[in-house]
Amino acid sequence: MAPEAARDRIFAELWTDYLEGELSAEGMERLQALLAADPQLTRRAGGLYANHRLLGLHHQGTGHSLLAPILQRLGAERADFVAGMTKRVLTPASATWRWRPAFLLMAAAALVASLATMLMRTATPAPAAVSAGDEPIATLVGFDNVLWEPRVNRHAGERLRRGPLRLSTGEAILRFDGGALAVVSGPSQVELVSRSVVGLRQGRIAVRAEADAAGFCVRTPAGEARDLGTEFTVSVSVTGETEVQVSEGEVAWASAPGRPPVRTLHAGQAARFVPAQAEEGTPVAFSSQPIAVALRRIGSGPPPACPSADESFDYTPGAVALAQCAGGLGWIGPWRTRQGDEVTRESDRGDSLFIATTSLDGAWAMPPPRGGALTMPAGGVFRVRQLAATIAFADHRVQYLAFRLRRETPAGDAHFRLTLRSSTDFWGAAVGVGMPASGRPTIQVHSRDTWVAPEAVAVGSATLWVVKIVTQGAGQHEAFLHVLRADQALPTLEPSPWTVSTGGFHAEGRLDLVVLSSTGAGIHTVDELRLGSTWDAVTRPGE
Amino acid sequence: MVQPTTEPIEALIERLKAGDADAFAEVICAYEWPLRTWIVANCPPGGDADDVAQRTFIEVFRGIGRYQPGTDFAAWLYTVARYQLLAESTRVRRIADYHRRYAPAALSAELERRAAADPEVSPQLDHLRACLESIAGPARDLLTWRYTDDLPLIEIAERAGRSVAAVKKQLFLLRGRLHDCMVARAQVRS
Repeated sequence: MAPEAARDRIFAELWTDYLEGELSAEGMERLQALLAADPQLTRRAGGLYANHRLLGLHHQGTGHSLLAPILQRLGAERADFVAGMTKRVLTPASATWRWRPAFLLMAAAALVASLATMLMRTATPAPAAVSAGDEPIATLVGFDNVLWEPRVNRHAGERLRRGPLRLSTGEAILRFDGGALAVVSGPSQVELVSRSVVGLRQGRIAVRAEADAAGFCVRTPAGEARDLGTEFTVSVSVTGETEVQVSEGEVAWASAPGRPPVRTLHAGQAARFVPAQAEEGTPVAFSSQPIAVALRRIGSGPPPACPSADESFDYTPGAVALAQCAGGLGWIGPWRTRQGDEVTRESDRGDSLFIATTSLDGAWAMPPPRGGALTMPAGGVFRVRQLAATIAFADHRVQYLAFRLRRETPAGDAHFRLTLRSSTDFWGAAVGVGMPASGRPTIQVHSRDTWVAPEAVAVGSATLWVVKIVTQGAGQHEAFLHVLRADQALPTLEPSPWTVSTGGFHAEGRLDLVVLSSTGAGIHTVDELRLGSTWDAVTRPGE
Repeated sequence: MVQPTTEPIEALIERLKAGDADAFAEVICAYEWPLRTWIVANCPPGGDADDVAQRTFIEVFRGIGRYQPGTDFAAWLYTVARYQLLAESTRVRRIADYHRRYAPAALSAELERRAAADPEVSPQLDHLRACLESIAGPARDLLTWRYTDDLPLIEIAERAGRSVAAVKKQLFLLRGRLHDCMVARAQVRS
């Protein structure tokens, strides 16, 4: 076969697999090599890719408008816009802002149409190797006395993908990535549809959707309940009869997804809807309890787990030789400096830990602080300690890590990092969090890919950092970081959204080293380092 | 529902600047599809084209005071879109292992090069529609199953009574044929 014909044949196979999301990592490398060697082929690939996307757009039809979601997104700042426009553009004599009825209707329609838009998004052809359908859309933040069907072991913090979720008994708390909080009571059959849509085939679900989570939908065999910034409960019987009870705010009811609402239920109202019958439903007695009652009930279950490792820096204040710094639980050996190949051109300074007399404190301090805190002076300071329990990317697990941090002085080149590395492959897979000179917290994966928080942390103020690492075997792992200021109360449940989150990433190996580093002229104080399997275990550990 | 407008764009902008929010809805209706087509065709693998389009219009809404009446509104709109697309490219490139998982580096660079070129108010979808008219019968069914119904290849193969490998090959040929047709139409137009 002629070289060109062979190349074309290989390209055809690789390219089709690529567009169908079936190309392996090795195939991706071969495709890259093929394209890199042939600019003409690369230009053709660019055109083919664009046309592939256009084919998707064309075949979806043009019935979906961006109008509704845009207006919905603008809704929150509408008032600001009015004021801003008035100030910038209008003279006092001509200032006549007109939010006409048509526009108000459009804004209302935005709530209804956003579901259709969301469905359109999920239906967009996914040309990449990773399809949107594989991405987690919610988190199982807690549960009590639950029997899952089929019988599986689930753990708090587990990420949930699209698909069915069934529980025969007990209660489970779900946090959707769109922000809505839901309590599902068994027996229930739930279908996780998207970040802001859940299906309920049978059973009971209570939803609280505040602020950005407004618009959350519960679909049932009888129709669809759409939250309008509220708290409500939906119950579905075996025959599909649906009862909606509104505790706060309002809920719009539509007889089918995407249809205009036929009725709006207000706080204290309840109605029953029967599939394919009277669309406006029949009133029933309101009997719903606030979702907070269910959360308290679930929260009063077993006491929080103990952390798998903790270090309170409860040493004698002042400089303590590293060999003496072997306190806490869940560690192998004392703190040490980097050794051998671990050392970079930034050599480690000193051979001790400097312990401050008082612990870092804040509104989130649970339990009250004890012992001292670790002060990392200006210059290159690196301290390493090995964990007894490892974080293995091959496992399907959720691990949390929490610590307290304060940057003592502003410095143009200050950089604090806490990095989890491997004792057998120090420069291999790594997950770290840090505070660079900008003060904006970051997550860094493999010392290469960085995600940055939108806001900076103040100098001189204690903060609580909580990291969550979700390992997924051969799948995509995720890492999350939440940073609380000293005056912020500790959430009882893990948050959504987090301050920073990575989305999916690939990694192999194990992490069993904690590496603390402080470089530049900044001084950092670190305290109450904990690792554990739940949010509670690291934020409010059992004694 | 907002109907497509026949009002000149400058008049709409004038109304929008004067505080008439309805005018913004009409601007969206007037430019949504050509803009969306351009974004979809240039959005990096793994990117969210609809989100880019939405953010573009939102930025236009916020920055309408900066638009100079009488200049080219479409050019300004596409400049905003190009900036948003660049931001989306930056975002997806920060995904760990992006080039191993979403797009070979060479393809990624090529798509960025295409996006950086001056966009025209896009006739690409018109070209595609015209080219699709030449595809009928089983071949057209194949495209419908793949792009409208979003069926897995194995199901398409069952429906077509062919092997998965044969379906893949035919999809490749069809895509190539459409691409060549669109390039030819674009050349004739230019």
